[in-house]
Amino acid sequence: MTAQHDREDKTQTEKAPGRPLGGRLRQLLFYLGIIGPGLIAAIAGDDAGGVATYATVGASYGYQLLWALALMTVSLSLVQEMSTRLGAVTGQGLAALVREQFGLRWTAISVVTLVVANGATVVSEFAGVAAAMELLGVTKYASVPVAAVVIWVLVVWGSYHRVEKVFLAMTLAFLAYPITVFLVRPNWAEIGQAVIAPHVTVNSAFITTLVALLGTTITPYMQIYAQSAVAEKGVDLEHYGWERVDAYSGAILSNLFAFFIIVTTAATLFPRGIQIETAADAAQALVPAAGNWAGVIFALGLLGASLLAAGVLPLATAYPISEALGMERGVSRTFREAPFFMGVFTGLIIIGAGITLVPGLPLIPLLILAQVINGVLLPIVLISVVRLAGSRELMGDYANGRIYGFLGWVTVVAVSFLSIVMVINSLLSFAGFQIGGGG
Amino acid sequence: MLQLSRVLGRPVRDAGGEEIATLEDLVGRWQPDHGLIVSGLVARVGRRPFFLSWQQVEDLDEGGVRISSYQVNFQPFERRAGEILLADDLMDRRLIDVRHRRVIRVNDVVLSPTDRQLAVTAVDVGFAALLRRLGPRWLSPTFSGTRLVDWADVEWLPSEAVPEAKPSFPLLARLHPVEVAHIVNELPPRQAADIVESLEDEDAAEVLSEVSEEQQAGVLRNLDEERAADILEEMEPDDAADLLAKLDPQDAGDLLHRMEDEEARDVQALMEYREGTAGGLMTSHFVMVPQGWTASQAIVLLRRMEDRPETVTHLLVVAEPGNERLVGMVSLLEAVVAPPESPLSDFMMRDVPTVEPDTDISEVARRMAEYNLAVIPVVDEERRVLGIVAVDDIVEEMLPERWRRRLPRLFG
Repeated sequence: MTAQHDREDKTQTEKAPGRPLGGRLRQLLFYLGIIGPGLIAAIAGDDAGGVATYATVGASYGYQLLWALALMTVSLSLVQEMSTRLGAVTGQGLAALVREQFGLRWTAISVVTLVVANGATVVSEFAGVAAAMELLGVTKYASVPVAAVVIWVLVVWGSYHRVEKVFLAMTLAFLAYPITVFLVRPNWAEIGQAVIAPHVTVNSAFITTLVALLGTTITPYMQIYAQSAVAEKGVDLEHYGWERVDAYSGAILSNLFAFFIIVTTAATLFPRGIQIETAADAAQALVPAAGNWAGVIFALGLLGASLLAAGVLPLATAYPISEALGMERGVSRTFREAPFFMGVFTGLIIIGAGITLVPGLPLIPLLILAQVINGVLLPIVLISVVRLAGSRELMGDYANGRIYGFLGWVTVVAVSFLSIVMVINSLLSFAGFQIGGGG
Repeated sequence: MLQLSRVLGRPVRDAGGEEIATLEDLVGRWQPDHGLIVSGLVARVGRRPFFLSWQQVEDLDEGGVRISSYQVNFQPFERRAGEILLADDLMDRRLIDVRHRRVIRVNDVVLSPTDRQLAVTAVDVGFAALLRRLGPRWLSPTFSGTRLVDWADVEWLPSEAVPEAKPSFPLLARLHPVEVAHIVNELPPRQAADIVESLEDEDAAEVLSEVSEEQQAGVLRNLDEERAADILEEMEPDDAADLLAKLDPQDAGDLLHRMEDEEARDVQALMEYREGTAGGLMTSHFVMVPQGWTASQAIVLLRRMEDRPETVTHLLVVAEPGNERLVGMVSLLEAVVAPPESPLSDFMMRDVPTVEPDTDISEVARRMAEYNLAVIPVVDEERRVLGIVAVDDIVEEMLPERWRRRLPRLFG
């Protein structure tokens, strides 16, 4: 219920930025009107790491990785639906279910996985803040500490959800991506072919990019988030059908937005051989739509997306973990009352901001590295989701059907394979070997 | 004192000291006046679990189990009604800590011997217990710290209680509804609804009124509809109206339909008003008396009322029966101390300050503070009484957000 209302609110603030376009403007508005509401929700769901990764994928590989995005859309839809169903049927969060169904050892592994994966994502959100503010001429040594303190205070004082709307409005700047796609008129035949025909290069850079794409598209925290959101809402099963539609459309629209980013950078930066090394490089992709304002528009969107996620993630990590381990929780408690919860919550913010502040760390590669870490750790979360959603004992008639379960396990195997290849590759290159042609 | 985590997985030896199996679980049985008593063990040979009754057990400690015979009847284990498996049903699950009004998760189970029996005496909720279970056995003495919750203070969550093992929730029912609401706030809506359902209608109504705003709608959605309607009828109409306003219009309509006509009408009327105004805040549950009545008549009326409103500090005095134009207000104290036969119009407060349904709540609060009122009547243009706003409702509205919120809303 909440999600749908939010979307309606978002539509009201929807505005097409850009120059007067006459008849084409009307066409554009029509096109945004159809996919608008869902797309805006999807934009809000794509955080700093997502935008950076998709932009890099398009700039470095053109349309070559669109087939992977298409496959990941199927997997994402499946996985998000399973998480939503788990939340609706059991009324519990993922970590709590893992504890009750799989015992303490697997819980411990999952908890560590979540802290590391979400920690990496928090780092990427602060890197997003830093990159956006640098684009606006503010040094990261000023912007990141301020952002960290502001977020901590806002969340603990309970006023975060009020400013949330402001951040959300800022991310609307990213509507510049679909508009750019509309303006630059890419070669749709070429795109169509890239979506259908897989293209694989065996070298480190390619594998790393693929894992980053995976990690940012099917991020572990999204499953946790989807499940908790449905569980907290207390959806009754009669209305589950709508939640399912919501899960599918959310996944598809989120990846549609990713598609727009990839196509934009593939059409603007890739032909000119511009690799994305800084936020300014990424912003150039928006020049066709935003002209001289491209930098500001990109910075605004990136800042909004980063702050939006940075406010939710530490809490969304500390809460389920504390619940699974049976620790006192809730931001209205003090450090004394809930040391574990407040420790995890505060620690994630401090570490996230701290790593971003290390002098000389390049921000965009840092953002992408965080997605790689998420990609590598993804199988651990997916195994739990697919096993739980398939359990008849737990889910009764709502357990995965045969085909559904099969597709779920195919996803797990594929993701695990990619993750293992990535780890082996990293170890080998650490030891001085290179796979394929090198990157 | 014995910790369950330290005995699970230990060897089971026969009278001759030979290892014949591994300890897999302890079987508990609820015994009135004694609590949860161990009635047997589940041991495993290879992958096969079998049952050993407590009579066969000679000794059980951290070194393992010793049984009294050489002969073991390898009967496969099957759970019987009323049996609770300590590792399977209790370990890692949630319980309600009634003494501290919170939901806990069982990190370990503590057993103590009492005259040849072994009873569950506490659960460990400490972090050290987790480390003890996760680490290798030789490291476990390092994490010896415990945070125990007495077994007498815990209650199953209704949804997780083992069927027939312990069907009622006596401790929970004994708590004050506000305290039950604290516990309900900590649970996902499904389980929260189970708790509300386990209470009497009246208590359930009070708990539901006290539950945090974020949680209310979720709980209501998970209640059986017929039961939800019964509980709503017991609530103050303004609370019920606020609650229904949080549901989909269609679901709210269904529930209203199931409620008694009279209550449903009151609630529906209140739902028309906007939040943040006197109309949205007022209750239609108050006491009205005609001005011709005497003090004693008013008190007899109160005494005979079956469904007395929550706040009866004042009686509203209206022109005459059937004409609800407000003419005055009498405090209960005044009615009690006045000579029984004196008419209300002799001592009632005239020129009562009032507000209209669309008056903003901050203005309502200001006016109540200015005139030192515990309740303020809400009237229409013709000064006909629509409802009252009581000071406790205003206090709740005016509190800073952080105090009102008992649990943070994470998502959405």
